[in-house]
Amino acid sequence: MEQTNTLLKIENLSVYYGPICAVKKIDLEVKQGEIVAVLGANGAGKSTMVNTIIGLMKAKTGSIQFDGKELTKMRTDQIIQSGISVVPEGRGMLSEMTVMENLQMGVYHHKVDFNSNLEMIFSYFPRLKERQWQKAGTLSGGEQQMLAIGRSIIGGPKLLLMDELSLALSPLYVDNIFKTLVQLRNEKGFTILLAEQNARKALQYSDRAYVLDLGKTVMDGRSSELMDDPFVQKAYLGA
Amino acid sequence: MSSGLAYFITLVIVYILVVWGALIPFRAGLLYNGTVYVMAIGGYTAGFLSKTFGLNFWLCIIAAIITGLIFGFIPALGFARTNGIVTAISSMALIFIIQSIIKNIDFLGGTRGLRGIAKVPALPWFAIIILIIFGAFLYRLFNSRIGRAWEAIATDPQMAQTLGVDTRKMTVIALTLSSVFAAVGGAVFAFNIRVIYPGTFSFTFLLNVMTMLFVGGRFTQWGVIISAPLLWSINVYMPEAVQKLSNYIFAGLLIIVLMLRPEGLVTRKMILSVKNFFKGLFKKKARETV
Repeated sequence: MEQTNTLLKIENLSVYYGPICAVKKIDLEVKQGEIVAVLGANGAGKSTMVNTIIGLMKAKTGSIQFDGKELTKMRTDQIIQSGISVVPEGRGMLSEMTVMENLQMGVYHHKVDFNSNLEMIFSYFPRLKERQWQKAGTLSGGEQQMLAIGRSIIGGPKLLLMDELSLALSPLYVDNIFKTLVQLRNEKGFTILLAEQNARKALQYSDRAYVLDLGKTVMDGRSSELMDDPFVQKAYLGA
Repeated sequence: MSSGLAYFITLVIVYILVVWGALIPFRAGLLYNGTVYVMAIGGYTAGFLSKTFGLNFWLCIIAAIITGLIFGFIPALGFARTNGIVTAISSMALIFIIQSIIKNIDFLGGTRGLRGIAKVPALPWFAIIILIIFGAFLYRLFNSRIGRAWEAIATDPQMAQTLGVDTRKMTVIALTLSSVFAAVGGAVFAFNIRVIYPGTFSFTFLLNVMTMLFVGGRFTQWGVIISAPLLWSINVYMPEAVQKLSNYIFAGLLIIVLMLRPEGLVTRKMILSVKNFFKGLFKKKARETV
């Protein structure tokens, strides 16, 4: 697991909504095969960071290096094509399309063997197989989250971005989902970047973590160490 | 086939083709009203080539497809950068622009219209062949990678981008293909009516097309096959007193359908159950043979 090649490197990133600064200065690094969590309260800039990585928002300063490419100058579809997949905040279901069509959209830009990857997804999420011809909008919250994850991994991306994965899910379900992510990393070698408010779970299942506050990286380190850090405990774990 | 019936069938097929042309951008979430504009171009291309050079029907259709591609593609480059109401209004403007351009071109007959388009005796049969070819093409298109991308854009453009869809490129493809349908519709129209005026390709025509689209059902390609003959027969087979009121009837029907059946006469659910019915039949047959 301890690999040295960096997959994603964010340096000195700042993003503005008009005159309002949403991200002041983020520095972050994700290595191949890692699960990295980005923690922070509401408005810390987690979602803005995710949206900037995939090009939906434009960076004002700084650079985002992914796999040897500079993402800040690319269009969203080109960035996705270069091997990043996203589970957006609120899951981003295409609710009028069937589960199968949603999964087909996941391989839109990839030339991969859809059928064998579909079997892989169904082995991790058997519920999706039962519901493959159902409209995505009729699934339960947990099933939608499964579909969102399945759709993001079916194209075999190099990096998975997950924005607020645990939002609106029951605590038991959150554990399930995170366990599946760890399993996916161990078995398929995915690299995962989590933006999470649920700091306790995120620290429990990730290898390393960054703490954002008001658009700045204020702390970083191994998750197990951050879990014991008095500041993190006080601010994010409520201990 | 009596000449009246032949005329009716061909005109209905023209409407179906043009409504399909209007349906494609709709499926991609675009409020595009330029179909009638390309229809005029397709009609005048076919009419002019037939009158001046005596080209036969199929060559004129191919020429209409090519001009449709070109004249659909050029404005599409602009519409790829606009959305919503801007696209709707500016594409409507194209109709008025093409009308005044044609009015001022002498070799197209100006306001007097283009006369002397060759008579094609087998026109309704040719039209049916075209309808089947284009219908099959549209069915494949909607169930392809491109079709899914359009549907994703219509549902949530940002999510579509996040899945790697190039929304601008897909907009251009949608409008260009839509223009091909409209241009072919225009060409068949020219051969059917044999005299075309710039005034024919007007706002009223667009309203007819949109009424057929909404009454038939704007989510599937099958709705218009029912709504086009139904609505147009009001103009042809009803008593004259009713015919005069056809515009009011169209408007009334449109409002009633949108209120009672917002998806239109043919809904996606209906299509799905028909598909499942046929799937069931084939499964049973397969079992019987075993």
